[in-house]
Amino acid sequence: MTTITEHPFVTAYLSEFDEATSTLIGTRRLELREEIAGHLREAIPPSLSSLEAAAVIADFGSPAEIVGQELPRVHGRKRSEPSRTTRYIIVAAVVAAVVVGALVAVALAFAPPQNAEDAPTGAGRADAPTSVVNMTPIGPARIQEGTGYFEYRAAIAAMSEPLPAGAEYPNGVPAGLDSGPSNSGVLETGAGANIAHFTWLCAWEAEYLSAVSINDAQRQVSAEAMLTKWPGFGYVDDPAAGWKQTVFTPMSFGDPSGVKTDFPQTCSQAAILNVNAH
Amino acid sequence: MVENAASTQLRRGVVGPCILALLSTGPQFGLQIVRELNEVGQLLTSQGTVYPLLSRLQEAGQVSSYWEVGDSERPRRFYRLTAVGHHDLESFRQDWRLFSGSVDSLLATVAPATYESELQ
Repeated sequence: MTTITEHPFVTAYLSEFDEATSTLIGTRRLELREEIAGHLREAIPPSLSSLEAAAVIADFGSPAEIVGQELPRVHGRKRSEPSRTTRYIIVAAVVAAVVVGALVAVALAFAPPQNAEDAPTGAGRADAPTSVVNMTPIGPARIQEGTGYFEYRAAIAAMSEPLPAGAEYPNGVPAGLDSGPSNSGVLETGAGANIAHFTWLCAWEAEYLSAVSINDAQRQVSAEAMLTKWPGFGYVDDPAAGWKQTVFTPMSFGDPSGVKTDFPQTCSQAAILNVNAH
Repeated sequence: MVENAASTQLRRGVVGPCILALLSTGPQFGLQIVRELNEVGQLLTSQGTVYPLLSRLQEAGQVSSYWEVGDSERPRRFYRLTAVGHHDLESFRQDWRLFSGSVDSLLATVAPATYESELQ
């Protein structure tokens, strides 16, 4: 592993950049940060004097100027502004979630507790079984280096919503994430961020299915509310709205079958293997 | 160079096509593009704004990008011109020739002394 030191002015600039870019969409923020960090680290080697470094920073422009160029475009994106149809679906989902929650609560009041053996490994409370999303999940070995790992860490830091209680982000990215096409010296950008995003989705799908399996209405509604946010994050281009149709819509009517089907696929995209909803 | 609103708008309009022109010679990464634009004549008000601009060009399908790990310790994101970018660049060349010619003609016919005398 190669160690790359950084000029303190670059470190300070990137900290300022992180604060200034909180309004940008997660993936775009990561891309922009990565490019700007690369630019400044190359233009301002650690040996550069403070005076020279300050001159380069001045020519580069402030984070606010850069964000100012980003915002009109970001705010103009369709996917950052839910359509009327999407808003109706979200409202309907929230209403349905409340109704389902009330029905499940009533059912719980009159029915004996059900066996929780069917719950996927993935609990929402500290006293429940450990989530499939944990520091050392089942899957390939994890490493803590490379561009993919940087992206992964930055994506986690940029996530606006937490993991469910009892879940933790794995401590590293799958070994070989950066090596994919690296024989030719090329690596795909966004792979590390992708792992982080699908880890989040995997954790909340696990939480939802766990809650469904033990009829925990409160946890189910909470998990559903979090899953409802997934399409709005804009992490995945889904022009055909496949996830909404096959997972989100059934879930909004209290049908977990779509989540059950999606769960192993989602987790495999986070390199978390052998998960099962049954 | 004195900066005013008109020149800022003008720059914003032409820097994109200028980047397309630079990339017509081959793929370049962000820092290279910034340096070349600066050599030509301070076309960017702030160098960092090239990245939002590159992103817009990519969304418009005029450029594509890829990461490359070369001799440098750091991976670099290279941008290259697409077929759409080539087409748009050629359109801009023609438009710019007409536009700049028209502006030059107008400015030449309306000499500064003309309106200075009117003001008096």
